[in-house]
Amino acid sequence: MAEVTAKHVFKRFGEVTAVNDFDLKIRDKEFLVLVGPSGCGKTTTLRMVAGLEEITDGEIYIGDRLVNDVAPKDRDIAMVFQNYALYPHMNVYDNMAFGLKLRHFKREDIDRRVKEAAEILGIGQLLKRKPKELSGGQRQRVALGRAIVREPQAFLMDEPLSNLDAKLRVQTRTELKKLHARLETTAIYVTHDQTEAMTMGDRIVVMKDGVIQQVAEPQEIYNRPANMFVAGFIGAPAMNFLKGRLVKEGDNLYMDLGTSKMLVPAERAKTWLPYAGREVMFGIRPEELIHEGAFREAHPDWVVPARIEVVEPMGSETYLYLTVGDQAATSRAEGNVIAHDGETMEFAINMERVHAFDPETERAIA
Amino acid sequence: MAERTVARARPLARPAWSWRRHGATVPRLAVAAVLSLFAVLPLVYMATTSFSPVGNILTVPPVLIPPHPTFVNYVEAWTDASFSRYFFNSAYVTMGTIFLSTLLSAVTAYGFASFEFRGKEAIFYFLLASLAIPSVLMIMPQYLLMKTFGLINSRLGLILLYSSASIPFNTFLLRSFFSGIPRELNEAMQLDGVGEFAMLWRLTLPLSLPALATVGILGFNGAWDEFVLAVTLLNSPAKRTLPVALMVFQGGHTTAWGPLFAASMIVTVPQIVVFAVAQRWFQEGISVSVPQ
Repeated sequence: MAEVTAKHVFKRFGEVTAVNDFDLKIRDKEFLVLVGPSGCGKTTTLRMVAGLEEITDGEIYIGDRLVNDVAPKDRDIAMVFQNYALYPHMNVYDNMAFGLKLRHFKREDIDRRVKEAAEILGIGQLLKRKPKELSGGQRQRVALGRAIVREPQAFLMDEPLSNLDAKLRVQTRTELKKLHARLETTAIYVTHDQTEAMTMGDRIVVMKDGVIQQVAEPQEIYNRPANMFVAGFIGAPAMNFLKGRLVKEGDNLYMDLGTSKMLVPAERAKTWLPYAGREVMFGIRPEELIHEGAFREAHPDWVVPARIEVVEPMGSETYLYLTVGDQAATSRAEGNVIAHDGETMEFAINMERVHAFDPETERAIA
Repeated sequence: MAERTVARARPLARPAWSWRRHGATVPRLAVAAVLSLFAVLPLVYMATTSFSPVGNILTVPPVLIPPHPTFVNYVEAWTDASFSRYFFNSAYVTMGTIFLSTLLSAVTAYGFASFEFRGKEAIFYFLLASLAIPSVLMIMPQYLLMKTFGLINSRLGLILLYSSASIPFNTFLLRSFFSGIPRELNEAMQLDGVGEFAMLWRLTLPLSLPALATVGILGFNGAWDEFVLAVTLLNSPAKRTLPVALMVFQGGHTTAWGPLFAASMIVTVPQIVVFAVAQRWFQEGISVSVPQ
């Protein structure tokens, strides 16, 4: 168990900068998730911590030890790979015991650790099987077991759930979280799936083009995204971005979408005032574009008409794909909402929770 | 329930034979049968002749099943013509070739598959280019080289020449196979504490058994029935290999056909057995895939 610290880490492949000034302290026992689209540098970052990729510039510490020039095997970390990377020619027991054997652990210690890990993961009955005789979920557990027996300072996980089917992924997600709580080991987890990031991470690092966009706890990321990229990446369906202006009329500030104007609450107005008269990109979560009657009646200043383009019933909720003025938006409505393609309905935008972004810098106006 | 019944019934319902559906198969089978006959008939003739007494050999019309089969030709070839010794020589040279060639090819291929170094591809293509040189052209330089090293009339010399001839293709084959091993397996081994060289025998070779078997079979075939180099290099009768030894049955005016065919069988049968046993691996090795 240890802190992992990256100080101004860069990784360049020729002209391409894959990781650009990654600077972060990962706390002891923390479950940190690196999330971002393909090519954002999250896996490269993880591989640099593992020692599988050389660092172009900067420093990485595991605990107090600078590990830039330490071989992967001596970094006291364990890694779970996306495709599990189980040794096909060894059975489950040997796969788990292999690293310990090479470190000259006593046979009894190896046996104890492997059996304990197998017990935790519920794979005790599979120890004699070869990887090809296992299902995807079982292989994934063996890969975890191989990491656990090492009792490392930190677990590194590179999209370990992405090869599982949707149901198993959800189940394993919870189990992984429980396992982390039980083992109390620092974990760095890479995923491109924002749901995994939100549900598993103590903190989330959102990356794009090798640059950290935001580091925060899941709820903070969701509620206060630092920029349009984070706002759009986290949350499903994605946040709506509607272009408009901030207009000052008397003491009031309005969000003007061209076809309709919504009153900005006083608290937000204070922050947004410097942008009065300027074009702004407004970010509205689908659940804050509300059709429910009581809310509309309570906030007549926030109402906007929208044309229903597509109705997508999901069971417990319904996604309504809309056109507001000439801009596309999505509303997450109740499951029993009655809506038909082509009709125009009124929605209220929850102005207490609307985000505003500078259209040039794409940064949140806060 | 109804669905299950239908699903079970389906495989039993064999589609009726029709010219339209199966017509093209008939000429294909006919061509295959004729070609197989060309390949198999000489073998069958060799086998039956080897069991025939002297009077029944090379008769017209040929007799495919000898009326009084006998082992006398085998006894004569194995003991009187010292084929037991030649068999040992061939086995010695072949095993040596398989071992040396596989070892060197595996290490070379591992280097090409796993490491980046300046001029890697150029060296690799240079190695492959040597396959384009007809082996007959190499005999003189090879002979002189062996003479320089004092390896004329030496089975070791023959092993070295056979191995060097097989390394380019084996390296090509093994490199393709090794390159197919997922990078993550190497990295997992690295994290477990395996060094770069140990990776070869801890991971690469165990995963490459089909390819190694293929290399072994090719090495066996190449060395077991090679004639030209063997006859050039080995001048002592005691060191002859089987293909060279077959000449002992050919005199200036007569040929001992019975023992010659028996000896030919002694040469051929091990090849057939080896291929029959290892053909599954051979196919896997040629298809260049790695089990995951």
